[in-house]
Amino acid sequence: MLDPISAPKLRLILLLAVLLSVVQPVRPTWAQDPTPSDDEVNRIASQLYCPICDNLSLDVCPLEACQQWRDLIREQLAQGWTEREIKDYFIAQYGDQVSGEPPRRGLNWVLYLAPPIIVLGAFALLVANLKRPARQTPAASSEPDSPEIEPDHQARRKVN
Amino acid sequence: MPEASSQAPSTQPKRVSLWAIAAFTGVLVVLVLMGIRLVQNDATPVRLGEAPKDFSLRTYTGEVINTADLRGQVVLINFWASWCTTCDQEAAFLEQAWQHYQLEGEKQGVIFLGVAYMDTESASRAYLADHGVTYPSGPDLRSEISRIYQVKAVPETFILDAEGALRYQKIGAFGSFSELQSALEGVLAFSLD
Repeated sequence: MLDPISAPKLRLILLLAVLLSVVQPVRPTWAQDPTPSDDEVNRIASQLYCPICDNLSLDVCPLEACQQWRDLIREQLAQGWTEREIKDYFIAQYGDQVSGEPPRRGLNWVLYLAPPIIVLGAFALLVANLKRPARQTPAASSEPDSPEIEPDHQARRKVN
Repeated sequence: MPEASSQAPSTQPKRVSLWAIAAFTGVLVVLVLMGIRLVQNDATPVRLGEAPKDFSLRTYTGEVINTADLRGQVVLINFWASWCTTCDQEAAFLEQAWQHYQLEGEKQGVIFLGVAYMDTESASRAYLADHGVTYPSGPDLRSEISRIYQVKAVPETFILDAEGALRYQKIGAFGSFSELQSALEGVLAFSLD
């Protein structure tokens, strides 16, 4: 049985429990920003190259055309496009040069595979040569027959 | 008495390592493949009198036009962009010429094709609306058309004769309607001969 002092406490506890059960599911929410930030746009723009400039990525290109492309990226981000989808769109519209790297298809694979193959081949050659025992040269094996030693030198050696 | 050297210099051919042959062959294959790739990428510039490769243009209205289907007509191909300031100057002349040279009955006309070079679709559509352009225009997807014509900047205009051979090329904007008209008349006269 509850004592008279604990009854108000119980009511307070129950009240708090009810309040907490109502308040708990409510989490702070912020309004979703429909406009992607400059940083978000530039993160993708920096990976795409201006198709009408030389070696200039879209994030630093000062041309009006580049501004249009950045605006387009912003629109696409706002519509929920992924980074991959945006890149694919730009490649489909303006060609492979905007991606800044050769597409991984066809003969382009040579560009990706050749360097590691050459390095591995060179390493294998090096290892194979290091493992091979040093060949004995005739000069090293028999000193008196060495053609490099002049006859008078040989004579002097015998005297000594 | 010391024995005279009886060891003759070795006459055996130098042994070539299998590794060396494999490495040499590998490098050779890589170089050949890279060469093929370079040749594939090397688009030859279009020359007057020669027929450039045909292309398809999907216009902003959804129509697909293939230049191979336009034989028998003079074709004007104009590369433009919404961000190009000098394109504005000639837009009115081009539209005026299009209105003037459209096919009229049996009379030989001129087909105009506008190719949006490195442009965004929304900006291109706005440009066409602002300048009242009514001839077929579409984007240069993957830059394939500008690569055929080796376009490096806009505006550039090419006029093909009825056989599909290039007869006129203008780098930069037309300064007047009469300049554009005289270019077209020259190609039309050539095509009628």
